[in-house]
Amino acid sequence: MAIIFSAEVRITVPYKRLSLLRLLTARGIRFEIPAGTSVKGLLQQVLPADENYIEDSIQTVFMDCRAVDDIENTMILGPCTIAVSSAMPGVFGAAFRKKGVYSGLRCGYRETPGRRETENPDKPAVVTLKLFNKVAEDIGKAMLAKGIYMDAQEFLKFWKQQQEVLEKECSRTIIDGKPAEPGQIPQLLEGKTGDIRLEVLTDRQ
Amino acid sequence: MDKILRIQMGPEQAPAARTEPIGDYAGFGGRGMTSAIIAGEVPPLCHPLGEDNKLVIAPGLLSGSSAAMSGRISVGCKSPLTGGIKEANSGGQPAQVLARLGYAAIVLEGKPADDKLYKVVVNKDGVEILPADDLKMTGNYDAVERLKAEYGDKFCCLSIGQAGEMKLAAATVACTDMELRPSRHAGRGGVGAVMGSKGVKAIVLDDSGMSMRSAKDPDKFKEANKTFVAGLKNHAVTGQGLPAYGTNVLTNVVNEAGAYPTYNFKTGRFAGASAISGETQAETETARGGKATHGCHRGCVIRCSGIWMDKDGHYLTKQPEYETVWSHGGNCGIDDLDAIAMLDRLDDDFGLDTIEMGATIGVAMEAGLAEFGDSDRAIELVREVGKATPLGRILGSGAAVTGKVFGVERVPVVKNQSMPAYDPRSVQGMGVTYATSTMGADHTAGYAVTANLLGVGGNVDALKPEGQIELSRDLQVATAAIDSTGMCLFIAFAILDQEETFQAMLDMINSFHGLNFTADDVTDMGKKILKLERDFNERAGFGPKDDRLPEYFRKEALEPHNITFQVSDNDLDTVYNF
Repeated sequence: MAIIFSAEVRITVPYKRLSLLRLLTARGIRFEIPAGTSVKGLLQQVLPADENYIEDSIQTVFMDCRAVDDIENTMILGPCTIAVSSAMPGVFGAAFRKKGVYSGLRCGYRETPGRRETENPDKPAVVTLKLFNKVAEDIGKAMLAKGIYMDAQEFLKFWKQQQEVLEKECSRTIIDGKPAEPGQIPQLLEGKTGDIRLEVLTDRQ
Repeated sequence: MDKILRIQMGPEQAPAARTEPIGDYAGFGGRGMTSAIIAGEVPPLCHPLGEDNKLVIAPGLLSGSSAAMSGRISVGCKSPLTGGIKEANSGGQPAQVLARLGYAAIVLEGKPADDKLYKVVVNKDGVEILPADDLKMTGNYDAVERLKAEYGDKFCCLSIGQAGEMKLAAATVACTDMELRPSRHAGRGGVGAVMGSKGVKAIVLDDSGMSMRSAKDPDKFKEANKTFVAGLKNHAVTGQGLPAYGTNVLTNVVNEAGAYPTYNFKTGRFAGASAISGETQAETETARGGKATHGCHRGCVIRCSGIWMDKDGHYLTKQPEYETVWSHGGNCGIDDLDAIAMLDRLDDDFGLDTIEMGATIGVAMEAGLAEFGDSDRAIELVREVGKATPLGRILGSGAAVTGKVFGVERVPVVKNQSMPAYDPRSVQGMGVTYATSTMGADHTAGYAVTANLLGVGGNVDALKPEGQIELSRDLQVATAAIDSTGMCLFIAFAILDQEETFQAMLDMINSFHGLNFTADDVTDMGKKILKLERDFNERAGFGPKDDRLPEYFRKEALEPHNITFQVSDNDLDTVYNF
């Protein structure tokens, strides 16, 4: 089932600026998946990464702000936000790492509760996936090139914060199939609600 | 490194220096050295700004050698902020240079009879104590520039800004970095105020003509160092995450965990986190011609620091650390990295602890002195300190004083020291460390090093909630030991996961000093230091009532987890049962 979107945005930036756009993946990419899919299943389906990467490089996982230790047996039953990160520094990083030695330090909400039983496997669940740090660096570019769905206002907030650079560096902007000036983006997206589909291309692949 | 430099600042005599053998303090370095001298020589009930207090500056056991990551310097005293023992450590160049000059510590003693200001110059030819009234009420950046005009650019220095001269409880001791900028700070507990009370504006260190400290077993040391460096480079945190994004890599993740104290610890999530994340910071630094990867001292291989340029591409400050970005950012509702960088620069220049000042501004915002999110007003408030106004002096005295002056109940301090960037309701084990640390609320007091490797406190089942007390204890013991080596605490991530890297660290210490330390010995060293500190605090009047979080952490549930701090007082009182 496809995500309904209110606008389609395609922007082209120099290759060196892709790293800036990659930051968008930390703000949440929307997916629909069948309810009852495991967190690992989600990551396998939507990330351009192999199983080893998911097991070894993704060391910190959150579902709705709760650390997930067992990505294989933690199920997605309804709308939720999942964030993935590489290993993090400090005692905090150690405490929140998957099955970490120090997970006892986060006592109080250690387990992700109530997500093991599937209530309605046929119903799709909308998942907001956030990619942080090294994971975004490794995977973000490919996802942006393929196209992502994200909240229109979240995109707009990012655009306004980086407006100076983006307006200068975007070589081509197409909104809903029509060319637009980068400076017009805030105006064109201001009233949009829900998600947009965003594709980021580069001048040099 | 077999001698101690003692500088008597008065009042009975003019300032004078004497060098004495290390004597009974042999085997101590860094925090071990500072705490041993303070615990042994300073009357616990003395006034922190009085003549009986001492300021001890000590490089670590491996500082001045070619050991990677060995550039931390410890600064200790009785704290004017907490009233207890204090060790604050810093990166930058002074640890390496002081160690190469052969000093295991500099101890500032006494107090001048007048309000004259001095600078201490130490080089291979000896020690000079010179008038420095020309530097009065200069910021650290200005002071270092003037010292450069006099001494060239081959020195490094420790200095205080206006806050230290005013003897404010949030004052730091600044340490210059590799570019001779006063951007690294022994930040916590008001150590700069004690340096100010001694009348010392700057300590200029020049190791020209001195050579690197050499190991007793050079071959074994070289091999161990090589293995140690390889371990750091191979680890995902020390080899990838920290170099690429710095400590601020934590912002997005801590926020996602709902543990990011926001609006003066009112909630655990900040909507503007992404805009001030390490990822955004690194991208902006690179785009402006700064650096996202940079070492703070010679011999650093993790290089988690960076250089922040303003919008016009001019140097403004070093890359603000995670704690700074949080304290001046999310904690105050500010999502503007340029404003945060300016606040960092002002803190560094005036010589203020960024954690304490961010927490203080948060309390000031709660009191109505500014709106949460008003970055311009936050900058104005910090500038008040530099201008030495009455309001500035209040703010520069820290969050606890500011809370009292303005009648704020919600003040996030333990032993009067502000909490760092992890809400103890979401990370309850961190709350145990905040409550019970000898230093006051301090995230680095129980940083890392695996309980399993060091075997402190028996085998802990970390997955059980009741393991938190034991974990916090283990971490505090291990951290005290690491702080004595002069090694950066960030090595902990690699030695946490890789046994061979931990062994390499032990091999470095052993081959350098001709010792045969085991993990148990490291543990014993950590325990010994903690006991010294704990004993000092008890003699200074501290008891169980001081090992508590503020009441509201037990009453106000934190969103999004709707949880309060739940570790019992009885359990907290067992942390030091070893």
